Amino acid sequence: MSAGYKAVQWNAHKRAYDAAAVSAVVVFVGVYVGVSAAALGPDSPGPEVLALRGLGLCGLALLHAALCIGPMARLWPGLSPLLYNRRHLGVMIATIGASHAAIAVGYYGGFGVRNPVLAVVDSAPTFGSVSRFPFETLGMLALVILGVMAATSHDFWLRRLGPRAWKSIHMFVYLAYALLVGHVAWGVMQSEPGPVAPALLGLGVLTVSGLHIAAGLKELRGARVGGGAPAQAAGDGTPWVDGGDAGTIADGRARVVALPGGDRVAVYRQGSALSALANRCAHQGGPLGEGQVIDGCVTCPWHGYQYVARNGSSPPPFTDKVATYRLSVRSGRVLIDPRALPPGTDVPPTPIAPSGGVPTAGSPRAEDPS
Amino acid sequence: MTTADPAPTPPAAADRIYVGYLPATPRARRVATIAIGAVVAGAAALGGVIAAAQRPAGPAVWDEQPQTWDGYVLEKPYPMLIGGTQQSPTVYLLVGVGKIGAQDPLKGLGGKPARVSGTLISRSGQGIIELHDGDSVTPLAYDPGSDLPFSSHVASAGPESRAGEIVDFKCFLGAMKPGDGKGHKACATLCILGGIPPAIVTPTQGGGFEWAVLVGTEGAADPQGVIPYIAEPVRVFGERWDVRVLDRPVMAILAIDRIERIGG
Ligand code: FES
Repeated sequence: MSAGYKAVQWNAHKRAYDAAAVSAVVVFVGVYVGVSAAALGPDSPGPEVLALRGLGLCGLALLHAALCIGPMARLWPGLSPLLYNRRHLGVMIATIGASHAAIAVGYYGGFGVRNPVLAVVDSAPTFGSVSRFPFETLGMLALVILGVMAATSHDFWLRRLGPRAWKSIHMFVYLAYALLVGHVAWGVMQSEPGPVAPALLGLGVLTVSGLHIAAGLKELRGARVGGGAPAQAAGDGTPWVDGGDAGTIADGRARVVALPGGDRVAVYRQGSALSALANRCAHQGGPLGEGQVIDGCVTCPWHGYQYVARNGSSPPPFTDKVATYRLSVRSGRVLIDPRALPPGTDVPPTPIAPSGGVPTAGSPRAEDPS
Repeated sequence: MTTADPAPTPPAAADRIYVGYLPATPRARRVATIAIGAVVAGAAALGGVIAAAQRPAGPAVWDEQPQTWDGYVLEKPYPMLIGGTQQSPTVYLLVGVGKIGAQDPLKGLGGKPARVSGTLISRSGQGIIELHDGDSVTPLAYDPGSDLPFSSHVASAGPESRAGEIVDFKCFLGAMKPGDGKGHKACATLCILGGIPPAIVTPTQGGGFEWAVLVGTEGAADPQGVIPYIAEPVRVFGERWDVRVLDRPVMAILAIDRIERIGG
């Protein structure tokens, strides 16, 4: 969390994660080089081309994995351990991409009468032709994006830029991905016959897009569970939002409710009371409603940032805050005031079934929605 | 009022979501173990499939062992050395180190005997010599008793068209593997700009190839004329000239009239 910064806050999980990722890279490149030499013998590509292709393919495969982890963890929450250290994957991908580019520029652009970079990006390019399209330029643009992302991946930059700007920068990963698909399709695939390369690339694109669509649909469906439709109006006429049956929220867990404006609220249950906070984690926008109460705090499923449910504030010494919402329980249904309170505003928890048996607005500061 | 019941109990430690800085739950450990195994096995399978599906780069060999050759030099359109013997003449194109032609070290030696030192790059029996940097060319005194095949000329063989790919001949013969195709286009362009001879190569049955050095209409080197067409399927139309040694054709040169892209 954000009380201070270290270069990397290592722990056993991150080490295991990085060791697994590095092993996969070494195995991929090793098998690729070994099988090339064994299958093609003296007709095998030379060592520089094997290194160049091995690294490029490996970086692209890792990028697919990094892009799939997010939606997979939404679809199957048990996979969230894969999400925890995704930023290290990003740094690894940028490093592998830079090595690929360095070999390409040195090998193809070096030893000649021109500047090596210019020689690579400016070999009679024609943008209107598939066979003459300058695929190298696509790769270099993607590398710039991945490089900026890797350089700003640390929480120091997240804090400096703010989560929204940081997230916007990091959404460019999808542009980088599209550029790299073009880099391969208009590049090496033009001179590699056979169905394997297009089939693998097509499968990759389908997997990435299919998982994102499925996760998006699941989130939409999940957010609708609570109803999300305008219910009774508050005293000032603002309609409160029906958040579904109050009693079926599991203790220590949340229900995510979509507000009419599109924002999402995580309604958490702690014991016999409910609290509501914005569903977007202050760290990287993780879905707080898919987290859990651990040690008395709402805990984000992505990297474990914690918040006190009633005030949306991280416990000291941390200073992160998210918006809170007023709640009421009426006839066993959760009602949510859709007007977000400033991050960190204390809202005493709303009892699910107050003593006396008649549900009323649980917060002394909440308006009666009826 | 019982809406609050049946309230599920708080999550047991085993059901805890994964939090990186807390001890891993058994379920998280299981997921991690399976994921690591799947990722590493997947990486191996993917690397193997891609490698096995690659196009062979061709039986090109760069013999790193330095050698010397005696012969006489032709400077134009690209430097070459006619050597061997009266009975079996040889011809090798000569190139410099890296992506630079051998025009400079051979300047003024056209038609004269010389000893060159360098390394041989060859593919399917066809070779090209990369001269060493420095003193790689030594003029030889003319020896009337030499067995060198001192009789060559260049003769027209009439109009011809050839379909294939325009490559820089040094990389194609094995300076790079592969030395053709879209991935190699930038390198081929740089080589040809630097004075390496461009050639049109046409694959033949059994993995071999036919080739002709490409020059401009006037018979002189014309890199700019071929650069827009490198690494694409093309057909080159022009007049073929043969370098003939002892009246035997040893090298084809195609003087370009026009180049058409095949399939757009
Ligand atoms: S997004 Fe990182 S902890 Fe919530």
